[in-house]
Formats: sequence, structure tokens, C-alpha cells
Amino acid sequence: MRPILLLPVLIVFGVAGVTPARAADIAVILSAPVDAYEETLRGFEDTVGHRIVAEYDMQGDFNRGRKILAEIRSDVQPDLILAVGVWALQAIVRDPPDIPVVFAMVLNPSTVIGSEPRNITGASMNVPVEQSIQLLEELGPTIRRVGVIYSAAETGYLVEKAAAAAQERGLELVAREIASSKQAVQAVNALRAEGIDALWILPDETVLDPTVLEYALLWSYRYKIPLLGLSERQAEMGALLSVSFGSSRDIGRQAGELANVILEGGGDGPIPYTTARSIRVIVNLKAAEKLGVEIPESILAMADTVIR
Amino acid sequence: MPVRSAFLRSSTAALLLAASGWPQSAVAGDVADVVTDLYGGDGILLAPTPPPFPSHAPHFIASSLGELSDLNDALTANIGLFPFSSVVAGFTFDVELGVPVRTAESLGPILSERAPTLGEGNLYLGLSYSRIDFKRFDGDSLDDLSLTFTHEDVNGDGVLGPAGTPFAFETDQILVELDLEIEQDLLAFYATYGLTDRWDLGIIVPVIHSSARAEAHGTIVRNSPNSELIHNFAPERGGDSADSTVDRSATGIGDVILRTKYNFLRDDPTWPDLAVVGLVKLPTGDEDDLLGTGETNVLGLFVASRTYGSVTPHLNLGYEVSTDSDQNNLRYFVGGDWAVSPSVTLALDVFGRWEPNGDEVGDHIVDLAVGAKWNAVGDLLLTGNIQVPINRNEGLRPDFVWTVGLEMPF
Repeated sequence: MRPILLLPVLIVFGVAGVTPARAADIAVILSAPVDAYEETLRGFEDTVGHRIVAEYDMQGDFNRGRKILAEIRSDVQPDLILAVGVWALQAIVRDPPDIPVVFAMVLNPSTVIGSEPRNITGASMNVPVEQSIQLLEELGPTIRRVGVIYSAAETGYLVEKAAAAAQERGLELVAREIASSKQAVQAVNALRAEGIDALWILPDETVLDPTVLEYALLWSYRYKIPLLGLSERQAEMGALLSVSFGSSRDIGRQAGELANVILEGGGDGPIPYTTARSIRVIVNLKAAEKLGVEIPESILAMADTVIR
Repeated sequence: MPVRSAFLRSSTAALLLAASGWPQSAVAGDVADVVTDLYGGDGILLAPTPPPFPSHAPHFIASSLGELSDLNDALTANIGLFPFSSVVAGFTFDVELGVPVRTAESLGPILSERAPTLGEGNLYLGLSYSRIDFKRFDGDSLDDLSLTFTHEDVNGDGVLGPAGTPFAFETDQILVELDLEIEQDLLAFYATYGLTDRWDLGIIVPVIHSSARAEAHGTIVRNSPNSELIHNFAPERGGDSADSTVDRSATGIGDVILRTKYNFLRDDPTWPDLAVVGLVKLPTGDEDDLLGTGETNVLGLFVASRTYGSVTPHLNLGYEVSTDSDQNNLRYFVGGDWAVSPSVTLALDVFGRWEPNGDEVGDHIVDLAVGAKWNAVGDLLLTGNIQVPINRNEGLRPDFVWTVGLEMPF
């Protein structure tokens, strides 16, 4: 048979071979009408290869979230649910559906999901601890002992990871556990007594009490101990460095990629949630001057914002 | 059957009227005619002139009727829209905690609009009470108005009098000193529903109690030698003055307002939040009793607002069209609200109404409003507001208007 006569056969079977699977249906629940969540949804739409058939906004109301879930179950019946923000995820965890759930823009998701296996994964807002440790290491050889205060229930899991990451880089994590924000000031002072070289603020609600933060910043200036913060706001308040997730849209894209893996049958076993792959670094040179710290060029090169 | 009558007969209207607590029946006669009905309602008719003089009794009717009716027009023209605001639950995002945070500035403005809407499925109900005690008309105190009625030009020569001629009596005048009291109590029931996340629908049903009292003291200004012979209030000679009092009140549904708002731009990094608002005021209030204007008005407003920390400035610009008169006007509100604490918001507005083609009576009204909203308990909001005229010599104006109210989300 002449090869040219095989061409129609190849075309027919070739098309059949690459005919895409049925596009899955996705329902979206936003925790509240904030632009960060809208941006996350746009990022999800950038990468997900399936249809968003329904979109809901809880508006911060858990009763409304419960009704939304009921409607999703009875009317929408999607193949996957995207939960944007911690409230949407909490609403789902309270009444877990049988279908896969992908979350996005959630901080410390394991504290929400818990330890038992669930069909839930997603893209967290957390900055990888390795990157925070790397940033502290790059500050210079004077930074060897890094102090953190934390609540075990909120960020105990992070402290474990951070301790391991610090050890790999030749640093030591000095951790003080607290039960409430009332113990934070005492814990910070105790860390100084233990001779820490830098203080790292974790994304821990117990630590992020405004009075604790204010004390930590003043303490940092008083004792000339650099502070690594979580946000541009904290850098503006006086933290030497801050690192946060870089883009809510990229977190949405990460969630879209995870959704594709799940819906297209990829991955064996549970899929771990991701941390932010795009981060934002803020450097406060005024704080550096006050603390007598010289910021290395490598950190200045990666900084997204430099406060002068 | 007129729309007005049908509405008044509805059970809902009856319920609202009952809730107002005001007496339902009107004192005989229209409230709007409280001035024209002075001295019998047909203008000033003097006592018959004794023989041999021809009758001079009706020679002040035309002038008095014309002057008195001007005041009535100003009264009805000042019953207008009652702007109200919707309460919006706002959020910002706390990057450090990773959660949305309800914003304190969500309590919103009081009299003007801002761009955000309620959100789909949200319902707000509210009730407000306002008291308006009108005090001035074109700068003149209502308790010290005076009208001068001139004699009819009986010989048709285009001149009154002149003195020293047989028609010198045409120079006589009647001076009427008026003391007017015009008050309104407004109880407004309103509801707003979020049809979608960006589109609200609402309705305002006002119940109004209008009362007007006119006391007139008329005096004949005798400019002619035979005046006492021919111009008298009383049958006998020397009847120089006469008093008249008219006191009217009425309660009823005012002009119902239908409202819609569409928020077409939100959370843009460059532009403020933007919305358009449409209001239709229906002629459901009895204009003869100063419960309504008797016209359908359609107002379109463009709204811009943006939150900066705890302050939300806003701007409203619009145009109102009246279907039955030429009182089309431009409307504007400039102001802002400030969340002084999580439960208290202060609001300030300068707002105005300008008729480019007006009749030079109250063509441009500008007021200042200052108020507060307090999240007293749970989701209940209490509001208080005081409104003062900036250009108090324009139109029919009170010294101030105070309003209290409450709102509740569902």
C-alpha cells in the first residue's frame, strides 16, 4: 500500500487518539468580596483546563457558605470545588463533600484541614520556610541563631520544617512556644537572653497581636537585633526585611495546575498542598542604618521594594 | 381611578399610616391652600360700599389671589426626594493573617450614595424620622411676611390713581402681615435588596404629616381722601383692619420612591468605585395636602467613592427630570464618611439642587449635613443627622432638619 493512502487512516486514528477527555465542571466559592480573591480566581482561570460552571461568594457568612454547599451538591454537582480563602475552606471542612476540593489563598492550611486524610489539597499563601531561612543566612555570617515565638496549634508544623531547614544551612532555630499573646513579650525577652541574632515573625495569629508586634519592633531597635517580618506593612513599621507571597494571581495559577492534575487523573495518592512559588521581598534601609546592618547586594538584588 | 387614591386604599398603606401614630383625617380644606384660603378663599372682599358710591368691595381680589398663590407654589415645590443610603459590608485583606477583615468604614454615608452595593441576597430594612419646620421664604422669616395688594385699575388707563383725580382711590392698598407655620413630620420605611452582587433594588415609602397655619392681619393703607368712605373691612366706616386664620393638617402616604443602584466598577487599582443610581418618585402623595408634589420625577445619579484607610470620600452627580413641570434640576453631593471606631462612623455632605431654568425662587438650594451612624448592638445601626441650609435666603427653608433612624440587615 502506498504510504499516501495511509494518510486518511492516520488522520482518523490520530484525531481519535488526541480527542480531549470531557472537560470537567468546577464550582468556585469565594470567602469574601476582596480583590486578592478575585485576582486568585483570575489566575485559576489562566491555567485550569476545565469549565467553571458556578461561582459563589460567601461574603464572610458561614450560613451563606452552608447554603452554597447545599446548592452545589444538589444543583451544580461539579467534579471539583475551588475554595478561595480560608473561610470557604473552613465551610467545606465543616461539611466535606465527596468530590475533590482545591483551595487557594489559605495560610497554614494544615491547621484548617487537620491531620486526617481528606480529598483536599491546594495552593497556600505560605512562603516556603527554606526561602525565609535562606534570606536570613544571606544577611551575613553574624546571623547564626534565629529566634521564633509560636503557638503549637497554629505554626508548630512550620517550626519543625524551619528547624530542619535552618540546620541544613548551618543556622540554629531557637523556638519559644507560647499559649497566648500575653506570653509573647516575655518570650521575646527570653530569646534575647538566649543570644539570638535575628527574630523571625511567623504567620501566627497568637504572635501577630498588634501590641506584640509593636513591642518586637521596638525591641529590635533597642537591642539591634534584625527582625524578619511578613508584609510590606511590617517593613514600613521598622522590620529590617519582610517576605510575603508575591502574587495572588500566581497562587491561583498554582491551584489551577493542581486542579488539572486531579481532574485528569494524574498523581498517585494524596497530593500535598503547595507553598507560594512567587515571593516578595521588602528591605528597609532606614532600619538597616539604625541597626548598624549592611544589607548584602544579593538581598538588594532580589528585593521588590526598598524603603529608604 | 387615580393612582393616589388606589394606593391609599391598600391595606399596606393603611398599616403604615397606623404605624405613624398620626391622626388620619385631614382638617377640612387642603393644606396647600392654607394661604389662599385666608379671608374666605376668594381673595379679599371688602365690605360693600354704602350708597351713593358704586361697589369697591371686589377691587383687591385679583391682586390678593395672585400674591397668595405664589407662596403656595413655593410650598409644594419644596417637597422632594429623601435621599437614603444603603449599608455595605466591606472587606479588606490582611496579608499577615491571611484573612479578610471587615472594614470599619462599612457604616457608610447617611444622605448620599456610595458605589458599593449590598451583595446578592442581602436585605436591609430601615426606618427614619425627620422633622422639618420651615422658617424662611426667600430670606424672609415666615412669621414676618408681608404682602401688599394693590387696587384694581378700574378705569383701565394703566395707571393707579393718580392722586388728585377722581380715581385717586386706586392708590389705596391693603397690607397683609402674615405669620406662617409650616411643618412636616416624615416617617420613612425603606427596604433595599441585593439582586446580584452588583445590583440593588429598593423602595422608600414615606408617611408624612403636614401641618400649616396662616395668621393674617390685613390693614388698609389709605392713600386717598375718600378711602374711609369706600374701602373698609367692616360694614361701618373706619374698618381699617381684619384678621384671618387658617389652620390645616393632613397625614398620608407621601410620594413613594423606587430606587436601583448598579456598581459597575469595583476595587480597581486606579479608579474609584463607580456606580449609577436611578430613582423614580411616584405621585402617590396628595399634593393638595403637601404630602407629595403631584409629579413623577426621575433622577439619575453617577456615584464615585473610594476608601482610604478609615475615610471614604464620595461624589454624586445627577439630573432629575420632572414629567409634569419644568422643574428639571441638577443634583450634587460631595462628602465623605469617617470610621472613627469600629462601631461609629461620622458623615458629612454638602449637597445641592440647581434648576438652570428656574423661576428664580429657590433655584439653587445648598445644604450641609452632618451625622453619625452607630453600630449599637449586633447588626443594628442607629443613625442621627442634622441638615442646615447653606444659602438660607433661597426658597422655602427650615433653620435645620433633624433625622434619626435605624437600619437592620437580614
